[in-house]
Amino acid sequence: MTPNVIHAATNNAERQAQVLGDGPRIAPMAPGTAGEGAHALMAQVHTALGMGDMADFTEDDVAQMYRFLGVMFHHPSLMQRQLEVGLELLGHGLLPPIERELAILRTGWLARAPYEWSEHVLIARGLGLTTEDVERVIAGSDAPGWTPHQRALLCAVEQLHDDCMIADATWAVLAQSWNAAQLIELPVLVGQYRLTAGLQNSLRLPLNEYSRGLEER
Amino acid sequence: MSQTPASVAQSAAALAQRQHQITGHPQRIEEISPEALSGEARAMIDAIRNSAGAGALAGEGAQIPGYFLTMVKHPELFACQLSMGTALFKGRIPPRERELAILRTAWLTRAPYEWGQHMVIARRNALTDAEITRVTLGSAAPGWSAHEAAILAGVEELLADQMIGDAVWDVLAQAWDEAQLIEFPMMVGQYVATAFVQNSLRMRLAPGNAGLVLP
Repeated sequence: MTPNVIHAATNNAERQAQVLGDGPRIAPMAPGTAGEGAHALMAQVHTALGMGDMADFTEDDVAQMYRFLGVMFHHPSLMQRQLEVGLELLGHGLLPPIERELAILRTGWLARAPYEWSEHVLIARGLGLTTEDVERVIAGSDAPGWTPHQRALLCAVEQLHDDCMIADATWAVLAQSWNAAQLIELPVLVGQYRLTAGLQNSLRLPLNEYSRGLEER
Repeated sequence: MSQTPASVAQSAAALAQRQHQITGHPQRIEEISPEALSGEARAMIDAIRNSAGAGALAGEGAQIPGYFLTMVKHPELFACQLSMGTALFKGRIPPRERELAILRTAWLTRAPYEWGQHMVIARRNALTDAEITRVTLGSAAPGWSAHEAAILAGVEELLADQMIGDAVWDVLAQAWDEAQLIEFPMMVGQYVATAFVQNSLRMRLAPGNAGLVLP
């Protein structure tokens, strides 16, 4: 079994200080120095996420976008692949958006990842999840109030975190409502956000100004 | 640097039990027939096989690994996964160091398919069986260079704490540039994700894949 570090003794503030430390380990490349290919990729992200024309963006907007992606510009070939996967999952994924965000939030919480957690709380809130829903994600699959399908979804994330495998009872519930492609997508999705958490934590990626990190609800 | 998780059992019985847990039952999603594979999908499979040093699929009758024939049921994610895998095989981290990291990841995720496949790939990239065995003991085992120990410790920290600690990062940064430092947690994450998928699908082991055993 994989080591299961729940950080019971580590509160949110301690974890956030541990991860964010005294600033980013690798500085982002500034807009303008990253080259044409990077700008084309950024434009692709904007289009896919429906963020409007880049020409309308303020300097602050651009700086914010470059916070993470500007670091990734140091490795353009992997950045491109990372974006392809991200855009596929967020833009064309087969899981209903709220279910997708429940899985990502549980992943980000178990990974104790301040950047991923706060960004996806805001995305989830935009999809209509409430503060109470977000708190219930923190409590996990055992919390009262989930449908059997939602409980199985959260349980799958917890089992992947603890044992790197979805157990039979959980799989059986998910397979009642999902087809083969959706069942394949879930461990890919959880794995992808686990990757992103490990990457952003290891880079000590600073939070956006509006973000409360692990305190975001 | 980091602790080797005590919960990771080494005994042959524990390994067999884990492998049975995963592959002792039928695959959860059956593969498509090889004839149903598109030319485009075949080309992507050839690309990743070439990048891993395995050679392209030999002609029409070649046996296509069941993992590909299963993942292709989600064609878009299949394309993304193969593209990322190929990019990592052609990445900035030297192959021997890459395989050290992947083997440690596969071992800690207790992933029979990934471990077995990468034992084969590691041997192609100058890792001896004694070294592969030492990977199972982790970063604290005697015999690694400081840089190799940091690679293994980085994997252990990512698995246990979802973050590389300062001491390990500092050692890695002595030998690696920024692109390599970015590639490392992505690569570990990619192989954790692959273990999640292969374990959860109960992927049957391909021919030549010994599964979760010591070399």
